[in-house]
Amino acid sequence: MIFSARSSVLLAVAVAGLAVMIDTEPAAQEPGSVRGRVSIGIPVTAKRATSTYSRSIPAVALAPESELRHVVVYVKDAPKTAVQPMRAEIRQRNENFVPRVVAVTVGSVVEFPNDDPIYHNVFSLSRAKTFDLGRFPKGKSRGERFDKPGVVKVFCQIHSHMSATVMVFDHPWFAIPDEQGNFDLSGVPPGMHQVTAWHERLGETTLPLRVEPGRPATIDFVLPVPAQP
Amino acid sequence: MWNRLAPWMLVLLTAAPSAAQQAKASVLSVDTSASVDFTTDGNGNDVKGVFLDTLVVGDFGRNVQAIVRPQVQRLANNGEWNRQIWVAEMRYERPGPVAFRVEGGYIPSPVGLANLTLRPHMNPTIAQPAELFTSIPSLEVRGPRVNLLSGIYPLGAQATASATHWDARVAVIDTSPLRLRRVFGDPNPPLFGGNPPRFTNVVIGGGVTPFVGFRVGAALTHGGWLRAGESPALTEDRSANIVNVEMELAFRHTSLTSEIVYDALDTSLGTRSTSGWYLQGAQALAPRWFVAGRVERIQTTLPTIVGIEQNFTSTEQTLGYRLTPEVALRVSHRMRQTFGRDAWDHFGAVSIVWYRRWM
Repeated sequence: MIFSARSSVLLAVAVAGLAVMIDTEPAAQEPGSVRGRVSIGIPVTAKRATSTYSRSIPAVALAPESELRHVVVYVKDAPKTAVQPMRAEIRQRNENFVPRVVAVTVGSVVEFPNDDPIYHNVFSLSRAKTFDLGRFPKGKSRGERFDKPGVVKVFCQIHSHMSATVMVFDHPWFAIPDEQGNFDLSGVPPGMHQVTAWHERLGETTLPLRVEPGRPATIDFVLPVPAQP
Repeated sequence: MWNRLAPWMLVLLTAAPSAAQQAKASVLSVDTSASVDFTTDGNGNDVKGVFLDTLVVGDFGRNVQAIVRPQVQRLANNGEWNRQIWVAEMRYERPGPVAFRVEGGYIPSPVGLANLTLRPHMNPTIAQPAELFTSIPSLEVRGPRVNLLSGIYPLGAQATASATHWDARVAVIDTSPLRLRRVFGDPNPPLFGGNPPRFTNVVIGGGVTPFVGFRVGAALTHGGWLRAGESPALTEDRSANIVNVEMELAFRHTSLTSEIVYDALDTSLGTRSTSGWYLQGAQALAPRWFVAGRVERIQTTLPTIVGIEQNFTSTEQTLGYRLTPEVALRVSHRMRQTFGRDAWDHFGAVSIVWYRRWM
């Protein structure tokens, strides 16, 4: 016997340790974050209610929301990731959809409560989701589940000026800016990314951004043109 | 000092204007509606109708608007192109719990529901209600033929008030709702016996909405309909009373509309009446599929001492498919039994309708 039992055990432990060292992937990099500010550089107009063919008169117009609440900032080239469904709502109020833009994860349900004393008929024929909620009175709500990623344009069959957008993502790296335009995407995988700011009328503006592990990367947008470096 | 001010000036120059962060309602509202219809009858006669219109609303602030609706139409029955201005009006609207509107110019007809669906995308079937465009046999000896209720845009003024559960209106218009009136045309309005049939007509109407989706309304119209000399038997102007009752019911994916019209007309043979009704329904089967249908009937009497009753009956069944939110395809079958005929005529039609709200 060339090797003793003790030597055999030590050798086995050494080989096993070496195997573990070889097989183990490098430690996952700490995610970074993307922060920034969106501003809108040109005047934006909203469609006005008209009542040329009606026996009734439109309601008082709502005070307009900040257009920055109609922007969605997201990582465009993000990998498909398991996400938790959310709940969101788009209210039908004073012949408007409020808010006009929501962003949700795949599998989420968006409720459409009617706050108006008249009927609306919410529908969409978008590829990502086709639905028709029909008419329902004030105080009632209907919900719709969004199972595919994409842009879902929502309309009212009765009021042509009403439109909204549901953006559905299969990853968690998206945000709607606050009233001042600030946004923060956390947990973004490090590396080079394409970051997009999308507005329902101004379209999308995409900029490249390197995200470093554990550090915030900053990017600002001035829609509809990219911010100057 | 400039060194201190420079950064602030740079911020001011490069910052987006704060007003740009909130949307302003557009000064102009513009939409377009268009349709192309192909209709064939049982004898293989094909006709094509084309319709294109644009509605432009300009907002002057302080709730004042100007509205104009130019329209081009290739008439299916004779292939002629007809260009019109159907709406050209100024309007004041005051929203509120009791909203108020005053409008003047060429206004949408204050009489009847069907007049409110004269744009292709608002009409669930391919054909419009017959009461608007089908002339009834003359009610006056050798006099002009009129409609039960025409699709008109009269010159006039209207005041409307509406709340959640009621609405009311009063209007003065320059033509009878029985007579077609065109802004452009030769002669215009259509002349009979050398006298333009312009008459003052007064309309009083209103409706109640007991619950959302259900409205019942009625209107009474009084005014001239026939000018002296338009018939050899007429030596003085004649007036008419028009009563119409309208009903709208909508729930979930279903909508029903109905209208009943009763005309009492002074003629040289005394007061003659003509009446009619239609019932129209639309049902969404799926987000893209819908069906619609209409049944309608008009009853009238010939201008003889002993009035001979004549009837018009028509039905239409339509299947529709929405290609996009803006484009819909429709196919329909229509049956029609015209005045004085026992036989039914059958028509098949296909139509493509496009509607776009531009701004």
